[in-house]
Amino acid sequence: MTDLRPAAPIGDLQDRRDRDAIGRTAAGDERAFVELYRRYAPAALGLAGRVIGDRSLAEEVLQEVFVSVWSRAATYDEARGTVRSWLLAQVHHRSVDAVRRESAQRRRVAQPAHLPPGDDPIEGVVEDAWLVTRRVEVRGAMAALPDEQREVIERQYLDGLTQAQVSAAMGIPLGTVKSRTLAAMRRMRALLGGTFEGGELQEQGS
Amino acid sequence: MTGHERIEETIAAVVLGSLDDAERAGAEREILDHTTGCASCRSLYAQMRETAADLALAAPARPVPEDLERRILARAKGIVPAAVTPPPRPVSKRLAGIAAAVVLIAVGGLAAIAVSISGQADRAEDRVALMARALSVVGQPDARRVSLRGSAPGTLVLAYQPGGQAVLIGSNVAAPQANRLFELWLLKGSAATPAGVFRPDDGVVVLPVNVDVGRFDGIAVTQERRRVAAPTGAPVWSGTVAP
Repeated sequence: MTDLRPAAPIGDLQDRRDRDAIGRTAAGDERAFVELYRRYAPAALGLAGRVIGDRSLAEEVLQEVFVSVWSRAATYDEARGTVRSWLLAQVHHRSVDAVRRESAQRRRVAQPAHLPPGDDPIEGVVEDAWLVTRRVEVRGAMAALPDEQREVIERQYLDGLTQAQVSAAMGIPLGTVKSRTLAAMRRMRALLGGTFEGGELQEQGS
Repeated sequence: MTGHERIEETIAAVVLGSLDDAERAGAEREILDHTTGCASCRSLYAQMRETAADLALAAPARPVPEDLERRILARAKGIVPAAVTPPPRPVSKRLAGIAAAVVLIAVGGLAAIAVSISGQADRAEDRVALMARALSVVGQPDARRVSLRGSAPGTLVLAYQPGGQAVLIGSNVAAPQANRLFELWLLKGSAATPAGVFRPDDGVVVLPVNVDVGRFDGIAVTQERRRVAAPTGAPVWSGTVAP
């Protein structure tokens, strides 16, 4: 199995930069907030769009999350994880809520591998090099999963289905969904490694 | 299956968001109870949260419309905080009591407040704390108020500190039509600046407004389908800011 782990120091640097930015945001520094916004908005909007399948609802989620990031920046706790996971978890949580609340499942059309571009006159997506690289690694890791593991993960995380719904949709017992999910997450973790080790951050060179 | 395996499956489900609300509350409690004494599961939980963040990158990034950035920045800078969400019943009774007692309110030292209109992620205790902060400054000598007049029943008052912050307070305010909300506007000449959206909760309105009201000459409230950048109809409430 190919080791898709990225060079750890780059991820650490990213995390440190984000922690610095959230700290400054909590102190009211608008530039720091804009820095975080520009870094993560394309990913956040992409995630919300994929989960909800509705562009305007996805944009609302993006707004809500970033306004919340601004006003609740002081609640970020670095012992719990990276700024990235804190932020994207909020996006995911609200997106799943929107899907379940609006029954947007009914409106969802089959998701192509790439969402069609928006009708706005914007050239393309500008993302940090680290995020672009990480995306490639994540796609590779997903492709390396056994099909049945990839499917349960996609249905839960990207389609916003509950485990009970996945069980019904795939015609497999709930227990199987749970065990496949755990196996898939363990394997993704093993393939990708991470910049956040355990319950404590590991500083480079410490 | 060991006891750990079950908890680990629960942790995976929680980070993926794939439990329904009822299951999720129980699961989070279970994880909390277990991880208090289990460092490896605590560590697993943290690591799985990061793996979930990686999964987020499996969705393609989308270009973000420029006006979205402007709007978010405007709100973040404190021009347009979001609406008050309907809190659970016991909290709203407390709010009704506070709103009815308000005469002159000035709000000082309010950080930018964002209370999500979806409400799912906000806790009732946070909302009460926010409202208490909004109403905590009592008897500021330079506080002013503008009574709004409207075609609908109720009392709406915008209280503000010149050069400082403001709060829109209402009691017995009639609800908007179904699938509508109210939007507050600050007027200068013919220009209308959006200042927040709200829906009364049991007639109660408490909307922090982080704009210097003294710079404007009028206030209006319209009914809208969703938050908009310019009013789509005639005001249902209006008032004049004295110079």
